[in-house]
Amino acid sequence: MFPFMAVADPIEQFEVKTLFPFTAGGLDLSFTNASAYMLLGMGLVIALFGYSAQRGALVPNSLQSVGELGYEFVASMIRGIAGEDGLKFFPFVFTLFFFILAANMIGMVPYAFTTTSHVIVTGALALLVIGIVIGYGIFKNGASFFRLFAPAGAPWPIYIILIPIEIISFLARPLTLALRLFANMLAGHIMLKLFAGFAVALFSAGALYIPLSLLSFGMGVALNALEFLVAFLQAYVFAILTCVYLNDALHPGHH
Amino acid sequence: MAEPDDDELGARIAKARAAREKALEVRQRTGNSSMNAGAMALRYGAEFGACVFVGLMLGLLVDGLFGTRPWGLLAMLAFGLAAGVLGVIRAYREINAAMAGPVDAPDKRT
Repeated sequence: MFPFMAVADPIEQFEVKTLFPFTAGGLDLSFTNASAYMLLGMGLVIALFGYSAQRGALVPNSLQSVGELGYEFVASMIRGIAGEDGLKFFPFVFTLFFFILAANMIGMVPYAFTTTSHVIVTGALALLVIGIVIGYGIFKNGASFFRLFAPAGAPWPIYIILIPIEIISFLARPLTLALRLFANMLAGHIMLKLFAGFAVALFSAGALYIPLSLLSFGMGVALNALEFLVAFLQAYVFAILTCVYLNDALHPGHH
Repeated sequence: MAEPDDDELGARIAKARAAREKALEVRQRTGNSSMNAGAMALRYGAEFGACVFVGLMLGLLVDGLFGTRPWGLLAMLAFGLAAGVLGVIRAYREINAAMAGPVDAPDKRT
């Protein structure tokens, strides 16, 4: 019998717990630990940028330069992908990037709850992005926004096949956007929990298992470093893809 | 230390700005290569799976609306598969473009 029974449940960390029950019109609108951690992430971002923008010194101190670096990072990302007129979406992309980054980073703190490991959160963010792309695209370009589905320069019989394919690949965008962030965070946190749990369980199983336990512990440490990279990378990828999609709304037909 | 006059300050700002542009360019060229194989596999898989899933859903929708079972599902699944392959090719090109030479932008998808 393997002594793995004592391993902590790796799924338990994703449980949504109600903190303050509240229902309105038959809808459960309780304030949960997910809401609390989202508020915490938002508060951290506001505190960081509120503080770093407050002084506005010519020679920034360390926290102010973090704020300035963040600003420059997002601004140059938008400029590079969607062009100079994409900057009108700067507040949106900036908020999105730092909200996801904060949520992912808070998730790396032991015992904290990772809001982005829930598909409902990432799905809502992806729907927001695609809603803005469609809404703004139609508002700005009118019917010519739909030329997105019919890239120019193909003989007409091809369009019978091409248009459904383009529509499907457009509809798949919010799905991949939401799925990628969610799957990365979920899988990463389960792995972390499993390796950490194995390390403890094996260590307490007897002297024979201690080398295995150390191996598992080493994997846990390495995974932790990897997860920090993934936490940043996924926020970055989400923001980049948002820019790419916004670019389609700004300049449809520039495929 | 004496206060730098306006001209000197302007020159220094211009110099710093040029250096920044250069650094940005270099970083954009090399930055994305840190993507590992697992992330790439997940990218391709998500792209393909999502397109097929959307095709499936559209097919069921068409059949439900027009009562054309099973032809709508068959046609839309075929389109979904095609869109999935197209999506994988696009993702491949984007990743390649990000890894190779200077990127002008990942939006240059054909």
